[in-house]
Amino acid sequence: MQRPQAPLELRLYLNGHAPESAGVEDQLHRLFASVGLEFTVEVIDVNEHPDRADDDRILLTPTLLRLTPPRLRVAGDLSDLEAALDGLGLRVWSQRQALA
Amino acid sequence: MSISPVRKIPTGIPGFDAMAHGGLPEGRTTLVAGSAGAAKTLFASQYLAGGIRDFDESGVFVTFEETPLDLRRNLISLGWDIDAWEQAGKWRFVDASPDPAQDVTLAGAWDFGALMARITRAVEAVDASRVVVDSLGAVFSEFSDSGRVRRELRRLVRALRDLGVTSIMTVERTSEYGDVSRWGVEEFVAEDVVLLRNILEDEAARRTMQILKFRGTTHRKGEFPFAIINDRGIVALPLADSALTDLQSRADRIDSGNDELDAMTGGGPFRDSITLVSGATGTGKTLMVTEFMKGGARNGERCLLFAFEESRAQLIRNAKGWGVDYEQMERDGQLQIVAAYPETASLEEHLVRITDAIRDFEPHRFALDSLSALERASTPRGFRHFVIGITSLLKDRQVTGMYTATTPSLMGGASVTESHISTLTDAIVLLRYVEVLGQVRRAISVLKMRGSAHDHDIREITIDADGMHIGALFTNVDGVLSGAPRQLGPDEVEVVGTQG
Repeated sequence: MQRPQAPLELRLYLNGHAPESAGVEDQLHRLFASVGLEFTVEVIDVNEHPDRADDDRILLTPTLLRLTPPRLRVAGDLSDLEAALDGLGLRVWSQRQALA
Repeated sequence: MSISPVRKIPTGIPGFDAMAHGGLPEGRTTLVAGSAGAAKTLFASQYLAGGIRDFDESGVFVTFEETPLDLRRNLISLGWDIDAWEQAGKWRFVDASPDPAQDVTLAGAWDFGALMARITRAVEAVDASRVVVDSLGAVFSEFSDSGRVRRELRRLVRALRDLGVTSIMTVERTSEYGDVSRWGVEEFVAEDVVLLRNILEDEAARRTMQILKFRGTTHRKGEFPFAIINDRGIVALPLADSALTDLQSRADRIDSGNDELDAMTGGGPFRDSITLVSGATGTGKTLMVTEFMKGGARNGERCLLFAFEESRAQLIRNAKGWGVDYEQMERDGQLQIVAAYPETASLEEHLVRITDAIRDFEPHRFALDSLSALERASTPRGFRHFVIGITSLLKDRQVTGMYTATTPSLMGGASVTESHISTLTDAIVLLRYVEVLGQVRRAISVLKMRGSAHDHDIREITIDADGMHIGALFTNVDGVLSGAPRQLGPDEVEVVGTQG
């Protein structure tokens, strides 16, 4: 499998009022560092843009959308890194790195 | 500090607001719990529709289960054009239904922040005062961490209160008479609980609703039947026990349509009384109803006839044979005939139709021929509810009523119907076949006449082109009512004869 050249496009919905969303951006950087991939992320506070949450039918915060196909979504503060890797389809890169 | 009384928001669901002494407690969340198919979604939808239609109040529908598309399609069959209401800014969906194309992986702690932001925005956008969340069960099955779901729903209830809306949350139950809900939701939506039931009893389904509790405010207690009617949705029937307790019969008596019968009952039926006419098939029950209608017409009264045994054409033909012109009476606006088959609708639906007809036509007299036909298609409890429902409505409106009941055996015997409802009626007239000297003849007797003296005789009736004629006493037989008539010997006849 080809390692993606372009950075992965992401969209992150968070709740600026809630502790669950506070550390999620840091956690996102940690996650991508662990697999050695680049990403770009659009961060949206649902309280400021509820219409965007409507469009994407988001219920939970934080919710991370992978926009680069395959489109996938992961909800939660990403504290469970293993589940997050699975949910974003990045597990395969994590294993390569472990072997290297 | 003064404590303000709980105000109520009328739902617009027919019958429910009377049960609820006004409606749902304002500014709070009412839990509507019921098993699968108990009409929870319909109840919730009708609450929003009622708000828009009857009170010009906008609503927000948060759906966790069905898609807005499905809901729009299902509800249009009730005549509610959700599309139009959405365009008019009266109704707004928050689509929280599962997206089959987008699985969500959970990776750590989360909250319902996005959902709450969307609900808040929807409420503000249409200036909603009513919100529906349907259903909590779907939320629990979507997200496995039920502790977190419960905590988040608790926050949602608080957020709705802060928005100042009056809301309904629906939740599933596993049994009709067990716990309120499957997930212990009542721990945090605890103030106001309504139960909807869909009970299968003796192979017949029966729907009821019950207000389990309203904190700090009153409501009617107990289960009340409801029906789901095309074009109208849920119609609850909180008629029971309203008027039955106050049986102050007015002394006013009316013409039963048969002078000889009026003589037997000591002056005819009371204006707000119910007469039960019981007899085997062919003994003259329908004829007695026909004369009752005739009596109304000749006194300038309006009469309503619900017939469940014969078609309209048959009824008109029969009446003509007894010298009564139903068609002319209808043309004169003195009669309305509604003929229906018992099996075409549930008992509750029939009750709604009868109630509507009584409200619209405002009859002075009402006859139902026969109760037994309806009883065959119902459960004992449902049937009793039905009879109480009609009876209380008739008494409430001072309509004189006549019900017929068919006895199963040709000779004597009580019908099942009678035993159920005889206490609800004010007068009972028995019609019986009697075998006398190798001939079958018909007998009549007034068994009960509440509030009046009456004839205790058993008399012979004959039927001809002028209707029913009540004749002489049966003086030479005994045991007519029991169905085992016994020929009396000459000595006994003499004894009886001198008394008569």
